[in-house]
Amino acid sequence: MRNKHIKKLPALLLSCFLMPGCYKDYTNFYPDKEEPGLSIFSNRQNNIMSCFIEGKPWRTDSRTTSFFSRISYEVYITKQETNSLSDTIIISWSGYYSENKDFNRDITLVLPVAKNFGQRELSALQGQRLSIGAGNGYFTTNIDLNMNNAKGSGSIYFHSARFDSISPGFYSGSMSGLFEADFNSFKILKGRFDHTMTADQIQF
Amino acid sequence: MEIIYFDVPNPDAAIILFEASINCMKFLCLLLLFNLVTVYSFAQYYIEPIAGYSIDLNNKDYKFKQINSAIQFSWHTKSKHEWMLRVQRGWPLSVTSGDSSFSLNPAVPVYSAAKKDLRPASLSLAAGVRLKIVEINSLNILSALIYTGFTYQRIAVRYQYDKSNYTILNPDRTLERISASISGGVEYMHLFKTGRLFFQANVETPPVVRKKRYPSSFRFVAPLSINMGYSIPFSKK
Repeated sequence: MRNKHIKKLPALLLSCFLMPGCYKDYTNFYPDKEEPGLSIFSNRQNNIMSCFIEGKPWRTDSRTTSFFSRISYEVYITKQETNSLSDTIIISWSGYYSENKDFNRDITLVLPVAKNFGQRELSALQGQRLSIGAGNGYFTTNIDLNMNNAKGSGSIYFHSARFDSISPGFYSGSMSGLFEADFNSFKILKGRFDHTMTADQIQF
Repeated sequence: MEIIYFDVPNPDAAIILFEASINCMKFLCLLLLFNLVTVYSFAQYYIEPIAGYSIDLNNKDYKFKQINSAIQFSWHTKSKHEWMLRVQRGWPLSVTSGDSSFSLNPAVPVYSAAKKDLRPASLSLAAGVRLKIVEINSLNILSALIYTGFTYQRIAVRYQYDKSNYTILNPDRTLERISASISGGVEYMHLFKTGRLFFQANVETPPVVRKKRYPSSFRFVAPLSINMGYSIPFSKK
C-alpha cells in the first residue's frame, strides 16, 4: 500500500515543478510595418496600447496570468465623483518604453461625464472623436519624473466601445481607438488601443 | 514574455524550412537523375512549354487570379505512365479592395476608405506522374496527373491612403511562404505527328501555415489551374 503511494511521488513532484510554469499571455502584439515599434491599430481585442513618446515606442504591459498569480491587466476604467456639476471617468494604461521594460509608468485620460454616468453609458463613447483639454478633461502621465503628473491636451477617438451587463452591476466588453496628447515639453503620438474589458477592469 | 507573430515566418524557421526544402529538392533531383541515367538508352523524352490561367479556391472575399507559365520535362519507357518534372511561375493579376482608415485630426473626416492592391505571385517546383486513364482512340488520351514538390507564394499588399492624417484599422501586410505542396488533376491529350497537344485542369494545395499567424483578411492561394501545353519530343527510341 505504501509502495503504491511512493510510485505516484515522481508524478506529483513533476506536477509541482511544472505548474508554476503554466503561464498564459492574452496580449497579441502585431508589429505595425508603417510605424516600427508600435502594434497595429486593431479592434480584435489584442489587449495592447502602444504609442510614440518623444519618438520612442511605448507599450502597455502584457495581460498575463500564471498558476499562482491572478491576471494582471494593462488598463482600468474608474470613476471619480467630484463636487462640481460633473464627475470624471479615468482610463489608465500601465506600460513601459519598449527599450526599457523596467521603467513602468502610467498614461491616464481623465474625462468629464455626467453625474449619472454608469457602466452602461460607456458604450456611448463608440464612434466619438473627442478633443481633450480646455475644460473637457485632460491626459496625465508620470512618465516624466521631473513633471509631477503633468497634464496635457489632445484628442481621442473611440472606434469601438461595447459593454454589456453580465450580472447585476457588472459589465464587460471591449474598446479600441486612437489618441494623441500634447504635454508641451513632450508629445504622445500615434497612440492606438485595443482591449477586452472584464468586470474586474471597470471599477465603479 | 511577449509573443510577436510575424506574417512572414521568423528568420530561423524560414532558414530551417528553406534548408529542408533545398535538401529535399537535392534528393529529388538526384533520384530523377538516377532514373534518367538508368533509362536513358531506351526512354522517350519530351519538353513541354505550358501556359494557362488559374483561379483561387481558398479565399471567399478575394478572387485571386494568376497567369501561369511553366516548363515541364517528361519521359517514359514502355510503361503506361510518364514521369514529369515541372517548374511553374504564377504571374500575379492585381486585385483591388478597400479597408477603413480613421483620423484624430478634427480638420478631416473621421473615416476614409483606403485603397488596397493585392498581388498573389507563386513559384513551384514539382515532380509528378502522368497516369493514363482512358485511351479514347490511338490519338486521344485522358490522363490523371499527380505532382508533389515545393511551392513559394508571395501575396504583396500595397495601400494607398492619406498616411499623414489616417491610420488603417486591421491592416493587411505582405505574406510569403515556402512549403511542401501536392497537386492533382486531369489532362486531355491529342497526339500529332510532331508532338502532343494537351489541356490540363489541376488543383494545388496552398502552403502550410502555422496555427497562429498574422491576422490577415486573406489566406494563401489554392490555385485551380487551367493550362495548355505542347509536348515536343527530343529523343526517339
